[in-house]
Amino acid sequence: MTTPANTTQRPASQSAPPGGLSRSMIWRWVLDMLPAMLTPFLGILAALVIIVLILEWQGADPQVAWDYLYEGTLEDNIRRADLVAYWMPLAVTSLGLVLTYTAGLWNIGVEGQLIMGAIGATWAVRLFAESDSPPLGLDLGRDGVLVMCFVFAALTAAFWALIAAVLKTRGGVNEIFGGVALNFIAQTFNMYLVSNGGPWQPTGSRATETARFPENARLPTFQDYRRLSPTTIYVTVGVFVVVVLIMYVSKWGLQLRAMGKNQHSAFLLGVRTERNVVLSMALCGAMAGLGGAYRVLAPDVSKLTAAPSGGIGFLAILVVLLASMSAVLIPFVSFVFAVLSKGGQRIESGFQWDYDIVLDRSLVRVLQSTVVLMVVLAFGARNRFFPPRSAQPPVDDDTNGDTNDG
Amino acid sequence: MFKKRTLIGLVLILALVLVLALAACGGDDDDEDKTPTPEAAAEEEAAAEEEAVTEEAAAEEEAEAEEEVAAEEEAAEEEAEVAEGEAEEEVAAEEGLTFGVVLVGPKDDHGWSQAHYDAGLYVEENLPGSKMIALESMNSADRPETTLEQVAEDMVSQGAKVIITTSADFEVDTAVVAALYPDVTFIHISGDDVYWGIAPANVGNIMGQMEYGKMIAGCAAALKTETGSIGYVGPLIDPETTRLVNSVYLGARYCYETYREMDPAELKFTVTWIGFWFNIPGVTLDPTEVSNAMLDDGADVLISGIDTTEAIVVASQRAAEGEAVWAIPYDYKGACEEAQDICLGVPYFNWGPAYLGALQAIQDGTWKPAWDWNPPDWDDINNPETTAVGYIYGDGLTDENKTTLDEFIAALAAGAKGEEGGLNLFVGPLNFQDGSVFLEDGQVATPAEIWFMANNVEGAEDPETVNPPQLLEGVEGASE
Repeated sequence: MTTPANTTQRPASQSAPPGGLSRSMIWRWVLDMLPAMLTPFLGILAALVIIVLILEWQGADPQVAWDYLYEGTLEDNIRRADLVAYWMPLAVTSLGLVLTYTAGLWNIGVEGQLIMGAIGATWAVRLFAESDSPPLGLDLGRDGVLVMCFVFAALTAAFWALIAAVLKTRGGVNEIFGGVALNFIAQTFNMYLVSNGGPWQPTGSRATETARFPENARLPTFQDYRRLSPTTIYVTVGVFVVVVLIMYVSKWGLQLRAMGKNQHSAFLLGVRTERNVVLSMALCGAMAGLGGAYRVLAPDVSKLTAAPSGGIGFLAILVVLLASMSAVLIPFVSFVFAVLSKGGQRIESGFQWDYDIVLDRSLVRVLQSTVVLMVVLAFGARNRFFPPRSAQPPVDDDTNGDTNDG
Repeated sequence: MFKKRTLIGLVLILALVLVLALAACGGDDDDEDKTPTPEAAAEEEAAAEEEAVTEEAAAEEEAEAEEEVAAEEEAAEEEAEVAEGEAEEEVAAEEGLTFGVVLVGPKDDHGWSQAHYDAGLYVEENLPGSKMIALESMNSADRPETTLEQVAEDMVSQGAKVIITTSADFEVDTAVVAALYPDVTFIHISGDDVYWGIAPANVGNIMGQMEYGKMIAGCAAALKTETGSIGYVGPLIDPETTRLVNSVYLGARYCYETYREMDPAELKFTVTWIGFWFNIPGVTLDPTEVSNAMLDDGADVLISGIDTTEAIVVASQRAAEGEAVWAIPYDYKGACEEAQDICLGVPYFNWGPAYLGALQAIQDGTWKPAWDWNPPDWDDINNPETTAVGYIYGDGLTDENKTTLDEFIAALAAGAKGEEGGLNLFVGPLNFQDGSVFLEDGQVATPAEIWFMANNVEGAEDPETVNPPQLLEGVEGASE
């Protein structure tokens, strides 16, 4: 079903009498949604089976692996805090991607945008916190410096995304190719800054990174968990609210959906597609930039490293695909991925340290990819055997169904 | 536009996700006790703590019960082992020394990291009761999900009393993390924080005098090259890598002149830096491409300065196509095995004795922080019990080459011991690439001058005032 048809239906549903939500309707709605909701979990179940087989094959007891996964992520508060600290940049980047992927823009360049965000935040630190006499004649204090870090991160990353967007709208370069190139340039630029005596590598340092940031550029942390900052949680929740409002309340969100269905039709129906491409890319970039800022400002990092992202941008793409571009699912899916990443590492070290069983170190990526593959496969199977409601007589809730089409 | 109904729908979705998550987890796993409910656990810490308490109690009971069973029936031992794994580990930690080794690359890289991993195994063999816990590929590109601080915490909670960080990349973090764990000893490999006195009191530095191994490598290359062109695949630019390149160059120049009787000014020696210690796709130059480009440019001997084996792999492929090319890998004793026929030998680190010495001292309580720059055992540079660096000949060398190299090594040994007629290559006149003087005529470099490849290090008080390292005049390639 095309979105224009949807838009024409909206008024009808709006004018439905209040109190039209009878229990039976909710029940019917739940039944309608059931295949859609079950699909990801069937996929995850299939992935689990495969993972168990891989572990058995490697001679590792899956039961023990499960315990390690739990131990490395959720067993005690310190692990939970570390997990959340890793979850936040992934979540905020994935939230940004919802805007572009909904609009049908394959923003592969998000990895580079995240890196540029990290560079932007570091730049702000150097401008406002590191020198004795700030070049702009300002003494912002810690809060001011941190605000500037986030602003700089968002702006540099948005700028990076804008390049890809303009290349697409004006240069006719597909955003995938533009993104791949810009990722490479961003990573190379990052390496230039911090390696081989680059401008941001301290004299005499042998580590491929900047110096540690000064005290007034450190995020505040929880008293008991020195590696987790509440600031990143607040900012991420704020971004979550913004993205949910855009996607489920604003007209603009609807325009993005329309573009995702068919950009040309949307254009013919009066959607300013070019402006929306630029806007959604820039917003996504800004959010990825925040993720980059979290990465460098993290209390146990507090510097620009050789690879500030390390593939979190690419991981975020998997998150968005798995969440079927649904903003509300992003926190959950990104959480699962964070658990797999951190827990996977514990599985690896646990077996090695306690049992002398050496699992391949790419196991973590295999776990994640298996989950994605199986879930996407499950979506395919569902579309084949339980066609989405949108292909059937109109039901008002099919917008939600659509978002789960994958 | 999206009214009440949609919102209620959203709430329902959330509820469903939670319910299904519970169902999926519970259904898949038999151990109901240990089944975490990810979202719930994250949000409801109090509940989770309760769970943890009951869990512990349950686990204890279980372990006790199984112990009895195990005592009665040997057949049940395997299962009990799983349950008691942790308990046993704790006992082991009390008996012997547990030490953590953090590797920057894979532990089977046939290079830098494997040399360290093998040294850990050597300690396990020679220090009774000791146990290594290693984590490989610890770098920001391969493990974005963790940091050295978190790894150290894992290792300490696993009972580690010593943590060895084996990369220049951990230099800053080691000092920061060591300050958080004053009761744990940290050994940072290849660093010089102790030299400057800026390291916490629980940090020591260890490095091997690889300069000699590299001089031998340079000599072997000079003996073999027909095109008069040698290529060096370098990692990144820092004092360590610069002094190693310069050592290779000095060895090559000396042997080209002394044994080949050719003009050292005509020896072409080129360095290309890939940007990191090993290939990270999309981040560094690809060492495979760099190696091929060097061979295309006329080099016929490749010398590797990176942690991994690309140079010898490429040379071996090109040799298989009929080209007369050779390679000298680095770091790891067995690196020539990649391609014995074209290997001119490998300068390698033998970290075992230094590890063992440090860990023994820590266990005995006699350890003191030091900046240890350990020499080869000049009586036998390949003695695994005593030497810090060595050089193993490859099959690419003729017997005549080997005799010449033996002679060269003997001269170096005499020089290092300060004997009459011994050879010291770090003697002036030597200039840097920019024309500035490194060593005046007849001036002998001090260890610090060699370490930092700078002429103003003597008397300097902190690392920031030392000139950046430079390649020597005659070496082609970037100094910065």
